[in-house]
Formats: sequence, C-alpha cells, structure tokens
Amino acid sequence: MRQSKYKIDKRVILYLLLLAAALLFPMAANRRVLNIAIITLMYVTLGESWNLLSGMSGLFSIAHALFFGLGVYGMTITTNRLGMGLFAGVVMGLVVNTLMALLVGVIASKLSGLYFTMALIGLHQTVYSLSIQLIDLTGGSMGISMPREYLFSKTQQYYMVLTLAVASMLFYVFIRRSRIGTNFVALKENPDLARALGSNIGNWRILATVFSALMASLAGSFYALYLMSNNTEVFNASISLKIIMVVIVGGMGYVWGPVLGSSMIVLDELVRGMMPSRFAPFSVVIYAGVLIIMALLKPAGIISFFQRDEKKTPAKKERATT
Amino acid sequence: MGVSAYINIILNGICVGGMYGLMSSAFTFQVGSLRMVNFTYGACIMLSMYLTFFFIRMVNAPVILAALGVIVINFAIGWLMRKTLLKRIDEGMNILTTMGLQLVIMNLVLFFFTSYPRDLAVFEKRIYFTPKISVGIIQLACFVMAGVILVSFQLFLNKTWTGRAIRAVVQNRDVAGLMGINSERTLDLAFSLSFILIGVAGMMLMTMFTVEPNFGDYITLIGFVICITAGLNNLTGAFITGVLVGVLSALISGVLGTAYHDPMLFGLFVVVLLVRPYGLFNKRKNAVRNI
Repeated sequence: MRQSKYKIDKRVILYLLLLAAALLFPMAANRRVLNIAIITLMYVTLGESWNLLSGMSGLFSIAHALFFGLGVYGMTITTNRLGMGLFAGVVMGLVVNTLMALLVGVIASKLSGLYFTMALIGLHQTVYSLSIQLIDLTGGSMGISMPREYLFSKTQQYYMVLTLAVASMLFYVFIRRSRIGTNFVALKENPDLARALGSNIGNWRILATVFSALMASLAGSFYALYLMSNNTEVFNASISLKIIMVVIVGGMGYVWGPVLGSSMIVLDELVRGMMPSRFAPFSVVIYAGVLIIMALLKPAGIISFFQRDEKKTPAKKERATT
Repeated sequence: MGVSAYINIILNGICVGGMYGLMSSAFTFQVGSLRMVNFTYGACIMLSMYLTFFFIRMVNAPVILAALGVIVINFAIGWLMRKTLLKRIDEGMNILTTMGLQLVIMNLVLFFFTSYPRDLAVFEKRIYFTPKISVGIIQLACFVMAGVILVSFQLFLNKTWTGRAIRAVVQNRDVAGLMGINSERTLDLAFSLSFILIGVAGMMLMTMFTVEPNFGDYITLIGFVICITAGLNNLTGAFITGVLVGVLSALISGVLGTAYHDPMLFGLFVVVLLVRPYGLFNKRKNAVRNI
C-alpha cells in the first residue's frame, strides 16, 4: 500500500515537470518547431476525443474528420459570414457538432457499432459534398478566410492549444474515473451484459458520441484560428487516418496513448518538408501501413512498453480469449 | 423533357443498378454472413476497374484473358486479406485495418495511375425500342450477367456441398467443426469467392463509368446505402435495392442535377437508418440479435 502511494507521488512530480517543460517550450523554440508543436498538440486533443469514443466506448469512428471539420466550418462561417465574435464561433461549432453527434448517436443506439461506423461515413460524405456545393455559405473549395483581427501570434496559439490538450486529457481522466466512464467501458466490453445489468446502452452511446464530438469541435475551432481560413481539406480522410493512428500507435484506452502516439505526427511534419510533392500519396500509405501493422501486431500500442508486467499479463490473457 | 427521356433515364438506372446490386451483395455477404467487416470493397472495385483498364488498354490483352486476370487477382487479394487482416474476428480492429488498407490501395493507385480519370471508351451499339427509347447492348448484357451471377451464387450457396458448408459454418462454427468441416478453410474460401463478385462488378462498372482514385469512396457509400436499405445478409434484397438505388440516383442526377445527387441519396440513407435500421427486406427479429 505504501509503495503504491509513493509511486503516485513520483508520477505527480513527473507530470508537473512535463507541464513545466511544455509551458516553457515556446521560449526555446523557433517558429518552425513551434508550428510542429501546435499541430502535434492539436492531434493530441483530437486523439483524446477519438480515444473517448473508440478506445473507451468501443464505437469505431473512422470518419472523425467530420466533427473536426464541422468545428472549423462553424468558426469560420460565424466569424466571417455572420460577423460575430470568436466565442460565438466556438459555440456555433459546438452546437452544430452536438446536433450531428445526436444524429449519429441515435442511429448507433438502435443497432450495432457497425451501423454507427456506416452512418458516420454516410454523414461525412454528405457534409463533405455540401461543403463543396454550398458556395455562398462555405466558400466551396476556395474556402473563406477569418477576419484579420483574430490573427494570434504563434506563442499565443501554442498556449491555446496546450490548454486544449491538457483540458482534454483531464476530461478524459475525469470521465474514465466517473460512473459515466464505467458505463462507457461496459458497453465496449460487453453490451449485452451491460444492458442486462440495467445500463441504458443507447443513451450512453449517444452521450459518448456527443462528448467526443464536442472535443473534436474545440480542436476544429482552434484549427480555424491556426489556418485563418477553411477549406474542404479538413474533411479529408487523411485527417481521420492521422487521428486514428495517433491513438492506435500510442495505446487505445489510455490517457497517455495519444501523447505517445503524437510522436508520429512530429515525424510526419519533419519528413514532409523534405519529400518531393510527387511522393505525397506515400505519406498516407506509410500511415496506413503503420496503422495496420500496429493494430495487428501490437494492439496495446507503445504504452504497453511502459507498463509493469503484472498489469500487462491479465490484459493479454483477456484479449486472447475474446 | 418528354416521357421517352425519363424512360431512357430509368432504363439506364436499372442497368447501372444491377451492377450496384452485384457489388453490394458481395459486401452484404461479407459483413452480414461471414462477420468480416470489409471496408476496402470500394477501393477493391476501383482497383479492379483500373486493372481492367490496364489489361485492355495498356497491355492490349484479349477481353477473356483480362477478365480472368482481374478475377484471379481479386481472389488472391481476398485470400491474402483473410489470412492477414481478418484473421481474428474482432470487429473494431477489422474496421480500422481495412480502412487503412483502403487508403493504401487508393494512394498506390493514385501514385501509379495518377488522378487523371480513365475511360475504356467503348463504342456501344444501342437497341432501339422506339426511335427515342434505347438501351446500350453492353449495359443490358452486364445487367443480365449480374443477375445470372447472383442467382448462380445463391444456387451455389444453397445446393452445393461447399455452399452448404459455408452456411453451416456461418450459423454455428463449433457444430460445423464437429460435422467434419474445416471451418477456417471454408471461411477463407467464402471470403475469397465474394471477392470474385467484387472483381466482376468492377469490370462491368468500367464499361459504363470513368474511373479515378476517389471513385472507391463513392462506391463504398453506394454500397452502404444499398446494404442498409436492404438489410444486412440479404443477397436478393441487395440486388433489388441496388436496382432501386440505381434508378433513383439516375433520376436525381437526370432531373434535378448532379449537385443534388450526394446529399439527397445520403439523406435518404440516414432516414432509412433512423426509421428502419434493420432494412426493408429483413425482419426485425434477425437484426436485434447483435446489439
């Protein structure tokens, strides 16, 4: 007992050190490194959002860019077309995402998780084609830009996204430790049993979808500030792929999974500057390859290297039986 | 537009819908019966379309050889996928890995064939019922062939020993094992056979559509719409719904314009999911079993 207490203390010190390093990071970094850090932290936020939905609740969203993109579009349309402030933009993204998540969640609550994935892909494609065709509202494939007064410096953006990432991690931990998280895990592990024990799995599924969509929406609103415009690229499948890869590589169902997995984003940003554009398709091929290999060979992710043995073995046994 | 124009649109829609039915019956068989979630099938259809183009236009192979090549390659892809990605029946991981494979296929095609749209440019003779109403011979032949292939697949599942073995394994693996069926091998075979349907559908679609790497996404979605509307694991229903969706999409793009095509079709998809999630042709009892 005493030993475990000591361990928690050590962990808290480690977290504080990490946070301090993250807070002091902009002083030591130049603009390019700061850009990479911003993108990486954004993917950490998105990864936590995906982790909540898929790692915790077992609903596989392979078009998570839908929620992200709606956040971006909510922000840009509100500030540019409606002329309202930043806060209104964020709220608009949240509202639109809640509605979309409710729609997806209602579908998922009726039947199996496969239907959830299909519905999400269908809605993603619908929203994507609408974003191209409703030129008056969304700017089509040219996109619309944000008003100039919302241009923040890179350091400010870094702190914004750092807040987002830390907040999303804390939110994940909070949900995981609360009763809600227990229900989420229950409907991932054994929905039939959860239902038999009186858990209303339909409603929990809807709730998980809404939470995840809200987190992705905040990241999307931030991305609109970072990009200062929108374009249809935000709905791209490669963004969904990156989000999934961050979590799968890091470790699904763990808070620190996306943080570890975001090292892949750093690698990508570093490598992409050197590659000729003709080989651009190959980056997606490599991501997908990494995703497949990790999912097949090491489904527990990088985080399983850091775990102690007694924690690892029962998890392994469990996986072998299912 | 006169009445004959509408009839032409509908005839065209029926022929295209036959192809849709063929390819989505492959998906419905894989997901509904075999419980192997395969999200690559759109990409595989796109790949077999490109392969058809490659064999016929670039290598100048005779049509029979090209068809054989496409079918063999598709069978091999199916077998390999079953051996590597879908070895474990774990729905979530299958969704992720097949999604990854889909992107791999799409981007490799993008790299090797570039995003330039390709077309077989078949010169098609048309049968004229009246001076204004006509249907293309190849289209009609494809529709008939799709029907024949589906019926023979259904017969294969119902009548032959292998087909019955497949159904037995699908229903109850353990008991099928006790009856002397090698269930792993049977599932391998079933999955690879369904890839032949995909290959054939791809070849037929190539005669009607221009293909580009993103075409797979579109096909995936059409497949979802059809499978959900028909209800999973219902091959006949999938074919009928395929024809319906083909007619509907031809009418939407012909009458209202292509801009309305995607939103309306997928809006319909969502409505079906909300109102009748277990499908038009399935009974509720069958669907509720898997929460």
